[in-house]
Amino acid sequence: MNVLICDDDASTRFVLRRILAQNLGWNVVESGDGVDALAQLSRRRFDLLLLDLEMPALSGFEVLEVLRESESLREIPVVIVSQERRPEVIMRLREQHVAGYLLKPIHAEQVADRLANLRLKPRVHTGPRGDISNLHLSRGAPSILVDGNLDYRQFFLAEAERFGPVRVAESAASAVAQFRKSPVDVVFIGTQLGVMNVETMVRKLREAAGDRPVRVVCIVNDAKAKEEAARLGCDDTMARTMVPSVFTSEFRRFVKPSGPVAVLQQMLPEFKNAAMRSID
Amino acid sequence: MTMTREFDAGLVLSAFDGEVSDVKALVVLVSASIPAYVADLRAARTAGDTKKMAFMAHTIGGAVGNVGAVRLAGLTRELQEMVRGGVPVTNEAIVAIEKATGEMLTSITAWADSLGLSGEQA
Repeated sequence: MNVLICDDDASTRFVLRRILAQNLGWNVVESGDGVDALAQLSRRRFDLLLLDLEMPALSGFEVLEVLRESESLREIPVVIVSQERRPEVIMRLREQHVAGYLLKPIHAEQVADRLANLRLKPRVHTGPRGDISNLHLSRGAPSILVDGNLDYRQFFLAEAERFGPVRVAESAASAVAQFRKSPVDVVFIGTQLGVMNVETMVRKLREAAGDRPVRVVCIVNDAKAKEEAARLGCDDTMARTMVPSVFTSEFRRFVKPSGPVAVLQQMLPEFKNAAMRSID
Repeated sequence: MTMTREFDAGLVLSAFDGEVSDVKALVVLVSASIPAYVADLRAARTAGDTKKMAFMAHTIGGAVGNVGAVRLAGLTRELQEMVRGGVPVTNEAIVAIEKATGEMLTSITAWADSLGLSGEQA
């Protein structure tokens, strides 16, 4: 279990960390304010948030509101840790569906028992999470393509490698093994994946990625497959085509934007000389 | 076992299963943070910032709860009630918190000394 403790008081964080790590064997990360907590939650996967209410800059209530409005984080269990006993405050928290409420002062055994009784499970992410919008293929950031069709793999490689290096896999199992050995930011999933299906592959990629965000792109044939891809946990889709111009237009969304000359070079290699001449 | 309204050694020891290094770390944290919080409380009153006064009283109350400082925690609750009720926070209320903080720290230091915890850190 990965737990984030958000409390502005260092001694409270210390006591909670000790209880969670020693008594429950959980992994604990600390945050001293709500702004930092939200940043941590967007970067890493947590199974539980222990949240103080009274904090500077962003209160616990404000953090909760942000989480509940977030598509990727609204389901994270939140346990409030506060000395606040006023009924109206407790009622307001109920409306935010908090998983529990621990009253300060903290008593080690009580806290450990209450949290253990929540029967929390590590969260498995099957949908978009973290900030993946900035994950792209680039010269310095390779991606992985998995597809069982040799012709498509060769076509993809020829077109995509203008933008950055691509590692290919013939099966989902091989792609997962490659990812485990050397993770990448973007994985393209095609068809004919072998025994392992897309859903399992996406889950295994997420598990292998741990805290690291990974952008999973499913290559789809039609609108129905596009809908299905979202259900299976893919972050994005691109149309399956072997027409170079259509491929480039689809693929560009997953390529890191660079300078204008580089863009021209990537779009149409034959313009390269002309572009260089215009700069000279 | 030291248990006064200033400080509850049993609570601290039970929180850490008697693990001396953790107890020592907590004593260091509390000794460093509470005086700073109290100074912020005093500054907030000087500035007439009642919201900040309530916030600091709340923070102090939460922090000293970790060492069972019942009296100081009670004083911070009273101050929060004063702010919520629109009652002007008197200098005496702040002085009482400062005094209780001093007594709590003295009590913790004496206990830490008796256990040989204080050393160069506490």
